[in-house]
Amino acid sequence: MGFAHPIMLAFLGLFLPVIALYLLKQRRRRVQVATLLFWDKILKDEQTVTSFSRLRKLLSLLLQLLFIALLVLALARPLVSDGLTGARRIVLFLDTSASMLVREGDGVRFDEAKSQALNLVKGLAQGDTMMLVTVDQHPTVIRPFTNSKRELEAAIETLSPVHTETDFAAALKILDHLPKSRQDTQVYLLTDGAFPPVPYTPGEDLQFAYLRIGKAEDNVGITKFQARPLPDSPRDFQVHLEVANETDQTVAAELEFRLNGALTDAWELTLPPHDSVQHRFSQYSATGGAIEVFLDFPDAFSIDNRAFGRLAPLPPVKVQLVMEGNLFLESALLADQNVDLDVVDPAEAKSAEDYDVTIWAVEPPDETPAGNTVFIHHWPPDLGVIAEGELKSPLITDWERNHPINRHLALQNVTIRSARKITAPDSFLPLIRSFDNPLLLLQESKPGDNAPTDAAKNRKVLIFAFDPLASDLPLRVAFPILIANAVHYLQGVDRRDGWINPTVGQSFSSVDLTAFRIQRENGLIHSENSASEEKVTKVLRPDHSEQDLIEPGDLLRADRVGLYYQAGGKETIEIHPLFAVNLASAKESKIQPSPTLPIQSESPVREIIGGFRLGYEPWFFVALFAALLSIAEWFLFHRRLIE
Amino acid sequence: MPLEFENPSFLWLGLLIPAAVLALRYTLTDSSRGQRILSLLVRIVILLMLVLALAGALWTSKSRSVALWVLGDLSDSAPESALAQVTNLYQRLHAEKPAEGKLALALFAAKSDWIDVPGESKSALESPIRLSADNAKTETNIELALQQAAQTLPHDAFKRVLLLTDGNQTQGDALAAAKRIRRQDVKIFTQTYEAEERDEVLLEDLLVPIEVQKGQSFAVAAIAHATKTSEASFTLYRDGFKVGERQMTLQPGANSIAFTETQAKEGLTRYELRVAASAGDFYADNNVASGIVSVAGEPRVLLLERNERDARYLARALEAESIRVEIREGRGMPGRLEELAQYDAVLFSDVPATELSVPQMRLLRSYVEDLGGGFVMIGGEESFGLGGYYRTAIEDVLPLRMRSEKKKDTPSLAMMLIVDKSGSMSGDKIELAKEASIAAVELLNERDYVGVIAFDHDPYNVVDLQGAGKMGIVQTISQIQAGGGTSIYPALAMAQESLFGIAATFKHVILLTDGHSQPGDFAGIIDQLAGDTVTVSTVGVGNGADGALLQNIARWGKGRYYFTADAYDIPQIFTKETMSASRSSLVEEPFLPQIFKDHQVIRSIDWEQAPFLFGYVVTSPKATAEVSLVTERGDPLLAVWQVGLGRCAAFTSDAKSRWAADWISWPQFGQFWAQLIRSVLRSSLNPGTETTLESRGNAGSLALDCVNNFGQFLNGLKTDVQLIRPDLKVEKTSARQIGPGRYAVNFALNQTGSYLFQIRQTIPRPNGEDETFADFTRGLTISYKPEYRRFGSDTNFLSEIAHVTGGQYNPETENLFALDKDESVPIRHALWPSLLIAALLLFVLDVALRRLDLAGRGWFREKAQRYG
Repeated sequence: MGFAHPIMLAFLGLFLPVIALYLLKQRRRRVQVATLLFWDKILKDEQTVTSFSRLRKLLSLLLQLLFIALLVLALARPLVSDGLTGARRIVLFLDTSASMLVREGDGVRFDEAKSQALNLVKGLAQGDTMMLVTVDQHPTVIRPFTNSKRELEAAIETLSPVHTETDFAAALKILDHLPKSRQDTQVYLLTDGAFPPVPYTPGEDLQFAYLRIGKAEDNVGITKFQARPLPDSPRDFQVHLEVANETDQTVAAELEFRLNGALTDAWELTLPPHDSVQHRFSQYSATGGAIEVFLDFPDAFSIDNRAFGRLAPLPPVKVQLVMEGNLFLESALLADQNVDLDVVDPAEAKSAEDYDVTIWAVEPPDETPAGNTVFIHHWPPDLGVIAEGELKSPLITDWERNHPINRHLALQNVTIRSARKITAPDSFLPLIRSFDNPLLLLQESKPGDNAPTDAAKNRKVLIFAFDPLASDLPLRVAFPILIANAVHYLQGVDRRDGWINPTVGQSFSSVDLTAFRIQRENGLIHSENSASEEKVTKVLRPDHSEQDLIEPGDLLRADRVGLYYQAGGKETIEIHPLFAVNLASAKESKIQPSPTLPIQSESPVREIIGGFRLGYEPWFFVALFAALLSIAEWFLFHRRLIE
Repeated sequence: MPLEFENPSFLWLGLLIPAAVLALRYTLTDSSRGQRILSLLVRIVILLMLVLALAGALWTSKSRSVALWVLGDLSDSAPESALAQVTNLYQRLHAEKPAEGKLALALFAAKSDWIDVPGESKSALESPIRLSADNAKTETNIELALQQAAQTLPHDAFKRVLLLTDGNQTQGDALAAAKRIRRQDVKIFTQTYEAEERDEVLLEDLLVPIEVQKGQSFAVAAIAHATKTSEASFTLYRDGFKVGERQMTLQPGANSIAFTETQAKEGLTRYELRVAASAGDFYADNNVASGIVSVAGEPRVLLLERNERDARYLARALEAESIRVEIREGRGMPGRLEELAQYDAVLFSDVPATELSVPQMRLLRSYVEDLGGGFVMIGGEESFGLGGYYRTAIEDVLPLRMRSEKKKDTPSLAMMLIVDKSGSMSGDKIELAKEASIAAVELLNERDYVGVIAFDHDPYNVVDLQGAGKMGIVQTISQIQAGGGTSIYPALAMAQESLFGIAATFKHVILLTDGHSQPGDFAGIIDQLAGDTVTVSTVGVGNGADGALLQNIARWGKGRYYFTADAYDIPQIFTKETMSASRSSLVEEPFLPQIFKDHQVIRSIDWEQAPFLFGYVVTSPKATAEVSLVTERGDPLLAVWQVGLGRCAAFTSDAKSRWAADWISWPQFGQFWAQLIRSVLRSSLNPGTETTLESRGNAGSLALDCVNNFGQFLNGLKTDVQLIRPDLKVEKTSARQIGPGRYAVNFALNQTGSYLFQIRQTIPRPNGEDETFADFTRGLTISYKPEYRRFGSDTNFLSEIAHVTGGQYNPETENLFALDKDESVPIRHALWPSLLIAALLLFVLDVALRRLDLAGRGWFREKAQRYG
C-alpha cells in the first residue's frame, strides 16, 4: 500500500503530546471538606480500583492514539494497488445522436442514458477523474478529465440529443490522444449501439463497458431526401426520397407532400419488411419556398418521419424577343415558365437594358446595344465578327459540353441547311462548332475589362451563326433546353448546386449564413448583381426559437432537422428558408439496440467486470471510522469507562 | 454560494453532534463545568469538521487564470525559421505570463508533438525543441492539433489556443474543428509567421476539361505563382512528348498561362506542364502540374510487334474494319497506366517478355483486370513461353498457360545453368538468379536433364546434371549464397565435363554473370562444347558485365546474348532461353484450324475455306478459358476469357508472313481479327453522365450528374467505381445517389501520381440482369504533395478561424492573457484535507482539556469557585 501524500504521516508526531498528557501526574485538586470521617474508607476503596483505573487510562490513550492515527492515515491518502478501491480514470461516451430520441415509455432513450450517466457520476470516488464526451455526428469533449462531480452533473443536465448520425469511430479516436497516465482508463459507452460495429483496436490500457440503452422498437423512416430543380426548367423540381421499413412486417404508410405549408400531394407506400423503397416525383413551384414531406406512420422515432427542402426563389427572366414571325423561338421561350416574354416588332424594340435578355431574331441595329443580347444569324458590325460567305450543310462536330449553355444538350446529327462562315475576335468563345467554324459564340465582358464603350461593359452577347429555322434543331428536344440555358446564363443565374443542403449538425457563422442568403436570393453568378450586403444576425430555428449571431464566435449549430430562416430580416424573404437540414440516414433509422459492445476489434477488448462501482477513496472510509470512533470515545469518557 | 458539497447526503452525520451533547448531559466525570463546556465545544467543532470533510465540502472561488496552449506549425510549407519563431514567442509568453497563467506548447505537422505541458517535470525551455522524427512534415493537420488542445485545456481557467501557422492545411478541416471546439468555450488566436524572403515559383492545378470530343480544341491552362518578377519557361507535354513551349515574365503573385490543344487522341491523354524559372526557386517539386483529359471517339488499339514492319498486315486489316491501330515495337510499351488507358485494347504480336520490364507487365495486368482493357497475345517464335512469359504478370491474365506437358515425340534437352555467385551478385541479383534457375527447372520435363553450376573464383556443382524431374533440385538451388570473385572459364570447363557423353537431343548452357572474368581460353572451351553439339547463351547483368566477352561466347556457342540493366528481367531471360532451347513449345508444320467450341469470336467466318497455318506455340488452356479453335494436334489455337474487368485472348499462331502467309491473303483475315479484337475491346459508353473530379488537400471527391437527352434526371442507377491508385492498388467502391441525378463518392488522395476511375453505371432490372448504362474511365492527377501548393499565409482562413471562436487574428502577446474586468471562471477547492488537519489539532487540545485540571487556575478557578 502506498500513499498519495506520505508527508502527512508527520502528523503522527501528535502522538507525543497526547502520550505526554497521560504521563503527567495529575495535580490533585484542593477541596475544602467539613470532615475527614469517610476519607479513610474512600482511600481504601481507591487502592482496590487503581489497577482498573490504569486499564481505563490505557484504553483511553489507545483510543485517542487510534483516532489520531486514523486521521493521519486519511490525510496521507492511502492507495490500494489492486484497483478495487484506487482512484480511476474514466471516459464516459454519452450518445447524443438522433436515435436517442426514440420514444420509450413516457420518455425517450436519452432520459435513461442521462439518468445512468448521473448515476455514474454519483458513484465517482473523490480521487476519480472523468472525461465526458458526447457522441453524435461531431463527438465533442464536454468536460476534460475532472474530479468534480458538480461540474460533471451540471454538464450532463444541460445535454440533449441532436438530430444527427452517430460517429462512434471519431469518438474512439479521442482515446488515441488522451493525456498520458499511469492508470488504466475505463471507457463507459452509454449508447443504444444502434449502428454498425466500429472497427477499432484499443490499446492495452483501455477497458470498456457497454451500458446498453433502449429496447427493440419499430421504425419506418425517410432515409434519403433531396429536391433538385430540373436542368431545363428550374421551376420544375424533382424530389428523390427513400423510405425504409425497419419492422418485421410489410407496412403501408402515407406520404404527404407540402409546399409552403399547403398539402399538395399524397401517396400510399407499401413497404416490405427490412427493406427500403425509392420514391420520386416531380412538382412545380413558381415562387420557390419551403417543401416538406411527412411520412404518416406511428412509430417510436419521429425525427425521420419528416424531411424538408427549400426551393430557391426564381427571379423571372425578362426577355424581349424582337422578331417577325419566329414561332419556334417564341414557343421555346414560352415553354419556360420562368420567362417573362415581350414579343415586339423591330420598330418597337425597347432598350435592351430594360430586359435581362434581348433576342434579335431579325436584322439588328448597327450598334450593339447595352445589356445581354442574343443575335440570330445577323449581328451588328461593331462586334468585330466578320462573315465571309456561307457554309453549306455544316455538321456539328463538337460543342463545349461543360459550358452551362450547352449543358444536357444532345446535338449529334443536327441538320443545318447553311450557316455563315465567320471569323471572330479572341474575346468570343465558340460554344458549338462545325470543324473550325463556330456556329454559336459567346462574348462576356466582366467588371475590370477594358471595354471599348460603356455599352460593352458588363454585357454578354450570344451569336447564332445560323438560323435555327433553317435547321431541324427547333424540332428537337435540345432546342428549348438550349434556349432556356442561354437566357438563364445571360441573366446570370446559375443554380447548379444551389439545391444541396448542409448536413445536420454543421455549425455556421453569420458570414456563412449571409452567403446562404445571397445564394438563395438569386443564385447570381456575378457579385455585382447579388443581393444586399445585409448580414444575417438572427436565425429562426425549426423549434421556433431565435438565435442571435452578433458577436464573433457566435455560431448557429444546425442540430435539429427542419427549416432555418433568417429572423428580423426583410419581409420578402420570410417564406424562403436559408436552408433545410434532414436526418435522412439509413444508419440512424435503424434503431434496434446492439446486444453486444459495438466495437469490432482485431484483438479481444478488455471489458470492465462487475459494472460500475459505487465507491470512495480509502481515506473516506478511514475518516468515517474516525468520526464514529470519536463519538464512541466521547461517550465512553463521559460514562467513565475510560478516563 | 461559495460552499458546496460533493456528497451532501453525508451531512446526516451531523446527528453525531447532538449525541455528543447528550453524552455530556449524563456525564459521570468530575471536571469543572466550564472545562466540560469547553471540551464539548472543541468536540463539536471536531465532529463538524469531520462531517464536512465526509460530505465533500468544496470552497468555490473565482479564477482569472488563462490557460494558453501554443500550437506551432512546423510542416514544410512553414518558413525555415518557424521553429525559432515558435521558440522565441513561447519564451516571450513564458516571461509575460501572469503567475496564475498556464502555458503549453505543441509542435505539429501531420500530427502533434506535445513539447511542454504544465505539470510535467521537464520544461521546453530547458532543452532544445524539435519535431519528432515520425511526424511527417509533408502534411499539415491543424484539425488534429486543435482537437488535442481542446481535450487537454484545463477547465478551471480561460481556455485559449494560439495557433501559429501559415494556414496551409493538407489534412482535416480546421475551420470545422474550430467551430466544434468553440462549444467547449475555447478561443483560438491565430498568428502567421513573420514573412521570410524565399523565392518560389509554383504551378497550381493544370486546368483541363475532364472530357472532350475528338478534334475539339480546348485550353490547357494553369496558374503560376511567383514571389518576384522572373523569367520563366513553360513546357507542355502530352503523354510524355513535348507539344508546346512558351517563355513568359512572371509577375509577383498569380500569373495565368494557357495553351490551346486540339490534338488529343481518343482515350485518356495526360498533360503535364513544367515551369523553369530564372530566379531562385526554393521547392522544385511544385514546378509541375498535370491533368488527364478523356477524349471520346473511335476505339484505338496499341499493337506491339517485335519487328514493326511485320505489323503492317494486321494493322491494314484492322484499319479496314474501322479500328484505329497504333504500332510500336516491343520496347515502346507505355510505362504509365494512364498512357495505357488511352487504348481500348493492347495487342502483343511476337513480343518477347525480355523487351518489357516487370513493372510494365504488372501495369498491363492492372490495365486488364482493373481498368477493363482488352489484351490479345498473338504467337510467334518470341511469344508465349518462347518469349519468356512463364510466371509473369502477363501469364496471369492470359487464358493459356505457357508451360505444356511435353509429348513423347519431342526431343530431350540437357541444360546447364552457370550462375555467377561472386560478391557483386549479392542482394536482389542472386535471389533473382536463383528464382530464374528454379523457373527454368520447372519448365523442363522428366526426360530432360538439368544441372546448375555456381561460380566465383572456383566453380562448384550446385546441382549435378540429372533428370529434371528429380526432387530436391529447387531446394538445393535456393541455398546458393553470394561471395568471392569472378572466374568464368573453370565453370565452362566443368559444364563441358558434365555434358560430355549425355544422351540428349539438344544440349544448352546458359551463363549468367555481372562482372569481368579472370582470363581463360574461352574460344577453346566453347569450341570443345560446340564439338559436343552444345549451344551456349549468355546473360550480362548490369553495366559491370563484360559485354564483349559474353557476346563472343554466345556467338561462338551459337546461342544468344542478353544484356539487362535490371536484375528483375533475369527470370524472363532464363525461361525464354529454356523454352527456346527445348524446342518443345514450337511446332512448325502446316495445319488447318479446327473448331473446338462455338464462340461469337469465330462466328460468321467460313472456316471450311480457312487456309493453312504453318506453325504455332504449344500452350495449355487454363481451367475457365474458352478455347474455340485448336490445332490438328489438339493444342489450343484461339482462347478467350474474362479476367477482372477486362477480356483477354490468345492466338498461338501468328498474323504475319511466317506462319500465316496464306491467311494474310484470305478474304476473311480482316474480319476474323476485327471480330476477335472487338470481343476484347474495353467498353466505353457514356450517354449522359457528367463527371466532376475535385481534390482538396488529401481528400478527393467524384460527382456524377446523370441526365438523359430529355433533360430528365436518371435515378436509381447502381454506380460502381473502381479506383486505381498510383501504386496500382485498387479500391472498389460505390457512388451513392445523393440527390436526383447526382451520385457521389469521396476518397483519399494520399499519394502523388495518377488516379484512374473505372466507372460503371447499371440500371437494376428485377430479373437481376442489370443493364449497363455507362462504362467509362476518368482520371485525376496529383502532381505533388498539397503541402508545397502554397507559399505565404492564408490570412483569410486564419482570420476566419479566429473569428468563429471569438479569438483574434495576429494578436498582441499581452492580449493573449488579457481578460475583461468582470470575467472569471469558478474553481472549486476540496476542503477535506484542511478540515481533517484542523480536526486533528483540535483533538490534541480536546485531550489536553480532559487530562488537565484547569479548575485551579485563573478563569477556571473563578468559575469553579462560583459554580462548584
